[in-house]
Amino acid sequence: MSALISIGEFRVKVRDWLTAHVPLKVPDEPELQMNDEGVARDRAIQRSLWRGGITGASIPAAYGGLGLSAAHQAAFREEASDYRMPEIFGNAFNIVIPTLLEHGSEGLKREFIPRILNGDHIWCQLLSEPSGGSDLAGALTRATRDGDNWVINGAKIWTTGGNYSDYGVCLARTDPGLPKHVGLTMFVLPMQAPGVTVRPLRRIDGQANFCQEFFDDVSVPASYVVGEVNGGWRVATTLLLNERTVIARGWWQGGRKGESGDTGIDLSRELLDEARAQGRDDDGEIRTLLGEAWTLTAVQSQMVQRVGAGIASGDLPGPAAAMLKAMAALNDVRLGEIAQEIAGTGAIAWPAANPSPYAYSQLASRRIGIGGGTTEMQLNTIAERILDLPREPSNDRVLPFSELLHNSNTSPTMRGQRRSG
Amino acid sequence: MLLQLSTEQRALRDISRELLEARSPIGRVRELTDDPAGFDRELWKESARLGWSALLVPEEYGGGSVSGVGLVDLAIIAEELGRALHPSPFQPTNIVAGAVAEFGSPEQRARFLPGIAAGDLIASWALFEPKGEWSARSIAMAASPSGSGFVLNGSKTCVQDAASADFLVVPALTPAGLSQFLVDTDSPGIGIKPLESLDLTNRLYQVQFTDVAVHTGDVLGDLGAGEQSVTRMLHLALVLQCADSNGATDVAFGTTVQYSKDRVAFGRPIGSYQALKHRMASHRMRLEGCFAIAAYAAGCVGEQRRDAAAAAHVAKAYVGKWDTLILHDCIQLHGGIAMTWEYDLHLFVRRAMSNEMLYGRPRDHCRALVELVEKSEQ
Repeated sequence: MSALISIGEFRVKVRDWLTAHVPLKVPDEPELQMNDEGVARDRAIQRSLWRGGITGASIPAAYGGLGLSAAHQAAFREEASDYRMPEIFGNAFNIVIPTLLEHGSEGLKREFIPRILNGDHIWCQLLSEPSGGSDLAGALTRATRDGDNWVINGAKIWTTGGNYSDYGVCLARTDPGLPKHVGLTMFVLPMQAPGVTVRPLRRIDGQANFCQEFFDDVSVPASYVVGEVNGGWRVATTLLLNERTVIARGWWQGGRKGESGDTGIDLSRELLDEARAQGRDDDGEIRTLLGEAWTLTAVQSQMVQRVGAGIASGDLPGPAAAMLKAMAALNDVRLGEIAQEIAGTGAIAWPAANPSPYAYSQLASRRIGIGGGTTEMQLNTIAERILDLPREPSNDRVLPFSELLHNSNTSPTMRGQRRSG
Repeated sequence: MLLQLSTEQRALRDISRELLEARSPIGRVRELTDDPAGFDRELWKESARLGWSALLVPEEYGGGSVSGVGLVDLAIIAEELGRALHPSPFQPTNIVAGAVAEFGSPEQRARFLPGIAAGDLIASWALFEPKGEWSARSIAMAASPSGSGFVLNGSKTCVQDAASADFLVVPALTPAGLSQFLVDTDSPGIGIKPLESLDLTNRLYQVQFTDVAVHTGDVLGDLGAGEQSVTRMLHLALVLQCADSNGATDVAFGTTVQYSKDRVAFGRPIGSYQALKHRMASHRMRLEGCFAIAAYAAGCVGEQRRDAAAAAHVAKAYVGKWDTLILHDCIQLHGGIAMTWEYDLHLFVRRAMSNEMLYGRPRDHCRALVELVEKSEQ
């Protein structure tokens, strides 16, 4: 592995390997394919990138990476833009590796990072619980020390790819006698360990991309603590910041051609064609909605460029990435309403052979506004970290966690529908 | 607000801001609301020395840009004007300067551009007609051939600073098609009447044309080719207007956030209540989007990129809607104090509301995008 390979040379190397060994993207194919076939294919592609010596450009060589610069990694993303990338490894690359690099012990880094790069280990994030997602520091999952091990009991939920993961980073409470933020610890949790039960959850649009997990006396070695015992909130904060920063850059491993430059205004015709199919393209109100949809998409895209560049240059603070997430979420809801309005009855009934692409655009439009931190949490971040507005007063940072009011860790989905307020 | 200004652009912004702070503080802005012209002509002349009317004028006529893209530089100043609520013929004069530089004959350029760049000539654009739209296709005013030229008959309205302007650009229909004319405001047959305007920092006028004689040499660009120059001027106007609204909104919103930190209710700052802070966070996010799309549009229109029309429409559709909504909510976030004449917030709201309507409502620009796509399919 040459430490002195130029970006240009690296590009050529990446390009040659991808051309020879990796399939091209299929238009309209979803990035994440959460089924046996899709996962097996992603693993095979990651193994190929490993064999080609082109994965993990900016990861230190000691942990299996290429030890090159962030610019080499950016070059990889651009070169990979036309190819099918192993996106099931998204959590591993975007969240786990940066978190381990910052907080993990030398042993954890040497044990786990190479096994991501060589395609062996898929990772998930075990953060949200049935008792709470936004209030992440309120986690109820318990870890108790037992000799050289920690024994974990509890439940996690909304875990993307939980059923296909080999390992997860898991936030658990190690001392309920301390205030909630200081009694937490982050663990590496093997998903195949005895006592782990994974159930896929079906989303309101019928898709099954995320899971619920139950832990019954799951034993992990003490060496699987990431960072300090009772220092888990610091690790979680890094993890969430990495997540937002990556979302600002673009989550997928394959970037876009010239993504740092001008991508133009996307006036794609899908909704206009739908309006035509419904015979409503002369309706002034519908035409206003069509223009609004293009407007929202164009502004979002300029926003990503601006905020991404602003954070990189220091003109905007890191938490500014919360504006991207909040805007994407609010826009998605509005775009769902617009699509529904234009498609009309086409969005509520369709011939079986010809499903409507707009059927779920409104029903599932809350996805971005809930997953990965609700819009309300993003708004809190913007308000408190950018506008510097005061927090709502609360005693949850000072009282011992055991004295705080909290939910019980049972799942509404597992306990039937009727719950009183 | 552009991120990553060049050193020269930052200098341009800073000297413009300093001039406005020194010579056009809010007290002076309020004073000028009672002035017949509505702005300080001496200061306009002075600001020309900073290039406020020269950035779209080629160097040979006494102009020149800072960055190579005059409109991007101009948008930086437009935003400062918005921040200060500064009343001035900046927008109409620059729009006309851009059009004369781009479409004018050598004679027309020599006649008008040096005077504009020096701050001696003020110009405006008489586009809008009663019951009309802010677009080339809705022009009904007639330019009938007469002798060696034309006579103009019809009325225009919402013409900014018409009474102060030395000349106007006037789109009208000739037998050869839509054309734009350069018309001195002291030509016989022109009647200019002031309107009361919601925006106290902007003077709008009705302009009546009764058998106003113009020469063939006063046609801007080719006879019958007016659509191109009207569309171009509209794009320039939208870029400057969006920057202006964004500047005004940024200042008023900043004041509102500060007020919410200082004002106490039920024992704590009102800005600590999520009912308020979530709204402010959302406004902050939309405002960032307004800045992002306005900066993008300035670049696209300034460099005449393929996306110029789409970017200008998108910018107005977004900025026109959100700046006004944000500012209206700033009144609500303040409470009673913002309902008073003495508190300055309403002056900002008025400016943004006026901008929202001038050069087309957001929904008009949404629909214009559909037309753009339909046209590209033909």
